[in-house]
Amino acid sequence: MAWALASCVSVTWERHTRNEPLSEQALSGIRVDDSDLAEVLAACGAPLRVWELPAGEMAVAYGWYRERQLGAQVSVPLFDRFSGSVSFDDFDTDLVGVVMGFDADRRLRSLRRGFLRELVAEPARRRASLVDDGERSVSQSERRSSGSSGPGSTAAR
Amino acid sequence: MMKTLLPFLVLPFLCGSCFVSRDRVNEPLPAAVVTELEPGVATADDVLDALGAPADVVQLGRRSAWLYLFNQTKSAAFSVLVVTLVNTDTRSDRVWVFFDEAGLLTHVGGSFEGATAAYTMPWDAAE
Repeated sequence: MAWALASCVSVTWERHTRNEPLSEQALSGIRVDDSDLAEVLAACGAPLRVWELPAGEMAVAYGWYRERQLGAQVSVPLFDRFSGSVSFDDFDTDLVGVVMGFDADRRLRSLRRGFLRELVAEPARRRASLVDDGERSVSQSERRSSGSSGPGSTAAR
Repeated sequence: MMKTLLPFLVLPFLCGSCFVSRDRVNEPLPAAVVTELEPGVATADDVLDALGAPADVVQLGRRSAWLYLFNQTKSAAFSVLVVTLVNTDTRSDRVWVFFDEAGLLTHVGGSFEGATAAYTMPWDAAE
């Protein structure tokens, strides 16, 4: 009977965690229009993501999740070659976190909490990196299309 | 008759299975080295010398930010008869370094949690 039971009934209990949530203590010291990037990094550590916004602005995102899944499945053989099944899942998952926007001077201008998928409007495709060729800056794609093969360095170098 | 069947009845309970696994991406980041990177002093070359090639580079206008990343996931599962328990815990070491137009380090942010990933069961991880 145990064998038969195991073959048609299954119960799963899963838990998945990723990263530590930001503490309220860390966030309490951060003030919009007052704190800057250095203060945010000191209080919250390294973000998950950093991306560019228009006009020299940027945004950073902190995220974590606690996923819990309790599931049950019942499968009953009906005929020789067919079986019916029914399942139930209590599924509770999502990456939540904080998104902070900074102006060009790296002053904090916005702070939003919630599901990152709703907060993050990161461009689907990043723009090409700038390459400094001395006279003017061109993108890598422009450089490739112009056939230039001279050495270049990223804007950060 | 019952004595004959008993081993077969007990066998499923003894046939429980379990596994643990560990998944790592990149090497742990050296916190001591990161703290030595001084904004306003260190350059992109210094960061390269200290930490090597970044995992990601983000362009921020004419400025940029580099990501250094180490991920560690520990999974543990246990299964007996109809019940399966699974737990995964993912933690990471992350360091973001920000540079100005001249390649001078302006900001550093680090989180070092990668070593804290743990093998646990679902109830252990409950908060």
